[in-house]
Amino acid sequence: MNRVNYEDLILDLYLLNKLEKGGGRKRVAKFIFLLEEDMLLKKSIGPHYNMIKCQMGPYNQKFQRNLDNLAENTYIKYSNRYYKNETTGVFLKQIDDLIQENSNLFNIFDNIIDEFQGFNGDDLAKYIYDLPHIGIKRQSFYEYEEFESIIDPRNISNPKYKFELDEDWYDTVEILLNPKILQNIQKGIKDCITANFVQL
Amino acid sequence: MSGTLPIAYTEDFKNNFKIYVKKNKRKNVIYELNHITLIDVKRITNLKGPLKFFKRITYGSSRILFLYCRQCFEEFAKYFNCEQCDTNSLDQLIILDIHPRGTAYRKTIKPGFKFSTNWR
Repeated sequence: MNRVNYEDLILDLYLLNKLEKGGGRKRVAKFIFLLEEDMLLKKSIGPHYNMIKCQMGPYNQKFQRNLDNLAENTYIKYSNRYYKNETTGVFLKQIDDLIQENSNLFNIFDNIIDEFQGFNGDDLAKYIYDLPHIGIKRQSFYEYEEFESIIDPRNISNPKYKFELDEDWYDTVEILLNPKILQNIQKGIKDCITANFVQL
Repeated sequence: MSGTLPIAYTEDFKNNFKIYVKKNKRKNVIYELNHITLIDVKRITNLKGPLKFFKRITYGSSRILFLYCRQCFEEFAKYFNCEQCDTNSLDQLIILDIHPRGTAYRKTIKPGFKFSTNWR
């Protein structure tokens, strides 16, 4: 069974939880790009999105799928753009141990979010376009071919650090990010407490 | 010590078991569960965070969640405080839930978008 990159979903949620005014998928993508760029310079891997040069800046189709799925499962709110809701904070609190274990990554992300909090999507795009050296080729955005990969974290060999959930965290996050499963587990716990057992 | 452990199934598990496990596979799953030993249980690590009380095994594309009573009693200070908790029979498993793995984040959807059934 193919692995779902829950690491990326966690970082998307972490970002939206900090963005007071929320963000569209392109704004989210640019914040994540800045994190990937920072991690690349440290020869490390944070998010796993393959950032491709698109008309509106570095982007990957998976952003829309991930954000839509998070909204569908009610971990964020969608109304023209994506916003945090109560569940966003609750989920992040539940995985606080994981965030602490990877505090280096989240501290870097905090700094980026704080620095660019006031930037809208266009401001962020302009900032990225003006950087002389970005991505794996260390050249400006304009020098990349259209639809060329700017950063593909999968191609960073022997990274010094990689944000990757171990098996226990992977299963935990998969359950915590699925309200239907959580509801069933609640029922199971209730059955357990009240000794509502059956024969099979 | 390496014998199989007594098992209790919750009603929630039974209901979901019928939904997620095909009829011709059910006997196999029950066989597997009935043959879990203490050594197996100790080898299976717990989940993390708020789910740290639970262990899980996977069967095909399903995940089965269970509690090991002794661990709940000793490590988690009888956290769930179950009605039937009996210090004389702590070496038992409670099978809580079964659910499909990794289904919620693979699909491509648009919130609020409804597929039209009116094609003409």
